[in-house]
Amino acid sequence: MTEILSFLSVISFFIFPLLVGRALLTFFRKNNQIAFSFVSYYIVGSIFIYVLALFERYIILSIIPALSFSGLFFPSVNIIIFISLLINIAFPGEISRSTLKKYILPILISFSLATLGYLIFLFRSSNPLNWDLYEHQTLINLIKTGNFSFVTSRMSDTFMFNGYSSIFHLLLSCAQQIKLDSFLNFWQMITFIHYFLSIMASYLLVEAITDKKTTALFGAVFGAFIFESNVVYTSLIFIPQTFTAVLFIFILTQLLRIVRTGKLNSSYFLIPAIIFLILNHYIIGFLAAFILIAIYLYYRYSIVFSQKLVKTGLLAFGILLILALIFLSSFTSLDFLNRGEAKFYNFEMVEKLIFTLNAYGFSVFIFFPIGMILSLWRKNREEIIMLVITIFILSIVIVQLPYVLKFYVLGRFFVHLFMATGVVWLLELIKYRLLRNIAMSIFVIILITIYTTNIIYWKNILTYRNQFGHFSSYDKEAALYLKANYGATNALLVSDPGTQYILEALSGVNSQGGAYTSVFTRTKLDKIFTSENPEEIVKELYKIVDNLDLNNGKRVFVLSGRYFLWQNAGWEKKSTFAFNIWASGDLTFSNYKFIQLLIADKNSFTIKYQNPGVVILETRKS
Amino acid sequence: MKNILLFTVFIVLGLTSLFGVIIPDNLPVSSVGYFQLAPFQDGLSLYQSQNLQRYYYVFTPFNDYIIDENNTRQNLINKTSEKEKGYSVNLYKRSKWENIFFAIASYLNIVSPSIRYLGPDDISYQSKVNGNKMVIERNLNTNKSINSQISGITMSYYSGDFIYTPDGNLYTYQSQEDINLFKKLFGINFIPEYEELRIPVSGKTVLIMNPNIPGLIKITAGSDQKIWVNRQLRLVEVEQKVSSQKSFINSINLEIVDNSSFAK
Repeated sequence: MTEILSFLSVISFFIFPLLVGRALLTFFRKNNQIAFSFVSYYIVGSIFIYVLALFERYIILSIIPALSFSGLFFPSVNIIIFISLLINIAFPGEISRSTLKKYILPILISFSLATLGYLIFLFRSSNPLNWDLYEHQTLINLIKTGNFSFVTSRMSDTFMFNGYSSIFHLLLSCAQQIKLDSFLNFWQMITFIHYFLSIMASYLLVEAITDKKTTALFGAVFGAFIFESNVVYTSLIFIPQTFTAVLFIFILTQLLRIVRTGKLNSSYFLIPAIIFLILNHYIIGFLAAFILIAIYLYYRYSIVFSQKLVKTGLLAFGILLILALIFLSSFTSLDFLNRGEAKFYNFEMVEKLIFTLNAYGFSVFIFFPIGMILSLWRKNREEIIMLVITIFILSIVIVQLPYVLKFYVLGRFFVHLFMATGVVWLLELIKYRLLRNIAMSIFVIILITIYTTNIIYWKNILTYRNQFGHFSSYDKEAALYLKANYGATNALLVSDPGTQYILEALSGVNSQGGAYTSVFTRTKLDKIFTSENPEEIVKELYKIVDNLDLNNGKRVFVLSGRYFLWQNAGWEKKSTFAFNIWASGDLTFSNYKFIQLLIADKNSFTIKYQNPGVVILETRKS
Repeated sequence: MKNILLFTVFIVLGLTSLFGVIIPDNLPVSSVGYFQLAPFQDGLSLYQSQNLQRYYYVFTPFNDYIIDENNTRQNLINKTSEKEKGYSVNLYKRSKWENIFFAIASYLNIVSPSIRYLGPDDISYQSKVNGNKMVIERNLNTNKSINSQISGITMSYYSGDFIYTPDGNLYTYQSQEDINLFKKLFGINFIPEYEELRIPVSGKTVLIMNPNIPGLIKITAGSDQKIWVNRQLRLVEVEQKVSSQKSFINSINLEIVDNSSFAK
C-alpha cells in the first residue's frame, strides 16, 4: 500500500501541472497551436500553480492575515486540478498513431536502460542515495505546514544561498499531499522517473539532430551509463539543477523540430519555458534560456546572412571563447570569488580530469573527438550549431571558477550526442552485420562496466554494515520518535550537521541550518565536545539559535554515532561546509562514556530515547 | 578481413575506454557486519572504512607461528629478514582488468578476500564470509620438514581493547571506571585475569571490543583448538596440535556481533 501511495504521489508531481496546463491552453484555444505539447502543458501548469501560490501568499494573506497559507493554497489548488481534470475529460483531444509510434521506441529503450541502470545503482542500498533530498524535503515539509516564500532562505536557514525559487518545492508539496508513511519511497521512485526522462531526453535530442535511430540509441546508452558522480549528478540525482537540464533538453528538441518545419510562429511558448527554467534554477536556467534564445534567433535571422558566414562565425567565436577563457583564468586572480563554500567547488584541471575518468573512463577522449571531427566534415547545420553550444559550455566548465562544473549538467547531453555520432560512424564501417551487432553488444557491456565501477567508487564512502546509504534504520527509528514527540513543538534539534540535516527532514523538527549549520554553531559544538561540565554544555546548547525562528524552545540534543565521528574529525574539517560524515554510524563504548557523563547530571539532561545508533537527550536550562 | 580489422579496432577502442576507470584501493573487499575485510601488505585485515581513525585487526604470517618439539616459538615469516628470505606478496601484481573484476565482485559481495606469500614457504590466507560470520583459513606449504607440535593462527588487537569471555573473565587491563560502565551497559561483571602476559582463555569463546568502534569480534575455537591472549605481543592466538608434515591448514572462526545490547 505504501508503494502504491508513493507511486500515486510521484505521478501527481507530473500529472497535476500537466492537467492544469492543458486545461488552460484548451480554455484559451491555444491548444491547436501548441508547439511543445506535453512539456509545454507541464510548464504552463506549473507556472500557473506557482503564480497562484505567490498571489495567495503575498496578496491574499496580506489582506487577511488570519488565514493560513496551507489552509488557503492546498484546497484552492485541488479545486483547480479537479476543474482541469473535467476540462481534460471534456476535451480529450487526439494523439495520432504516428505520434504514438514516434515515442513508443524511445520510451521502451529508455525504460529498459533505466531499469538496468537503477538496479545497479541501488544494489545493497535500501534508501535513496541523494544527499540533497533532505534539504528539499525540509522545504516541502515547511510549505505543507504553511511556511511558504518565493525566497528559499526565508523559509529555512538550511538554505544560505538562493540558487532557485521555491517552484520545485511547491510542486513537490502539491504531490506530497497524499499522506505517505515515509517520503523515502517517494524519492526513490521519482529519482527513477527522472533517470528514465533523462535517458529519453538524450535519445530524442540525438534523434532530432542526426535523424538516425542507431545514433539515438547510443545517445540513450550514454545517457544511462554515464553518471557524473561529482558536482553534476545529471541522471541519478533528482534536484532543481538536474530537473532543469532534462526539461531544457525536451524543450530544445521540440524547438529544433518546429524550426525544421518552419513553424516559428508557434515558438512563443518559449516564453513560459524560459521563465520556468530560470525559476527552477537561476544559473543553469539562465544558461539554458540563453541557448534557447540564441538558437531561436539564429533560425529566425539566419536567412538574412549567408549560411557559410554564420557557421564560420559561430565556430570561430566558440573556439576563440574557449581559448580566451582558459588564458584569462590562468592569469587572473580570482581569489575574491573563492570565499566560503565556493572554494570547495573550485576544482583544478587535475581534479576535473579525475572526475571525467570516473564517469567516462577514456571513452570521452576517444569518441567525442571522432564525433566532433565527423560533424565538422559533414557540415550539417544542426550538428554545427550543437558543436558551437558544446564548445561554449565546455569552455565555461574548463575554466577555474567556483561552481562552473555544474554547467556540465547541460553540456553532457551535447557531449553524448557527439560521442554517439563517433561510435556509430565507427560501427557502420563494419559492413558485416553479425560482427557489427557483436561489436555493438560488447561496447554496451563496456559502458555498463564503466558505469558500475563509477558507482562502486562513488558509493565507497557510504558503507554502513553490509549496505551503502546515508542513514540507518536506527536513524529512521529515532526520527519517528522525534516526529511523534517534538514534531508539533518549537524544539530545536542539535547535533552534528549530518545528523541534523537528515533528522530534520525525516522528523520535521527544526535545527540550526541542518548540514549547513553556521560557523557559530560549529564553534559551540566543538566547545561542547571538549567540555566535561553538563551545566556548561546546556548553556552552550541554548546559545545555538535558528535566526529565522527566534522562538526556539527546548534543545533536543541528539547524540548519534555520526555525531561522534564528526566531533572526532578535528576543527579544520568540522569548520567547513564541505565536510560531512556521509554514512551513518553506531555508538561505541567511548561514546557512551560521554553520554553517561551528561545523564549523570539529572538536572541538565534526561535520556528520552535510545537505540544502538542514536541517543536523544532532552535538556533543562537551570 | 577489413571487417575483422575494423571490429578489432573498435573493440580495442572500447577496452581502452574501460582502462581509464578509477577503482578503489585494497581489492577485493568484503563486508562482514560492521567491518570490511581486505588484503593489505601485512596480511588480511578487518577494519572499518567509515571510521576516520582506522583500526586494523590483522591476520598475518608475521604474527602466526609454530612451536616445535623443543618448545621454541617461530613466526612463519620473520619480518626483519623478510627481504633475505625473498617473500613476495600477490597484492600489487594484479592487472587493471583483474582489479576491475575484483571491484565488481566486491560490490556484488561475491568475493572472498585472500592473500598469498610466496617464498621459501607458500603461505596463503583465504576467507569465507557469510553475512556476519567468517572463517579465515591459513594454508602453509613448505619444502622443508617441520617438526612442529603446535601451530598458531593469530589476530592482532589494540592496547585499549576489552578482551573477555561471555562469563566475565577479562584479559586486558581496564580502569575500574570502565569496568563499572561496562557492567552498567552490558550487565557483565568482570573478573580480571592479568597475572600472566600470555593467558589461556577459559572456554571456547572470546570477545574483542574496541572502545572506539561499534560491534564486537567474537572468536570461537574448534574442538581441537585452544585460545590464548598474548598481552606482550597484543595477539589473540588460536592454537591447534599438528603432526610433523610439510603442509597443514589452520583456521579461525569469527563473528561480528551487533552492539545492540548497549541500548537496553
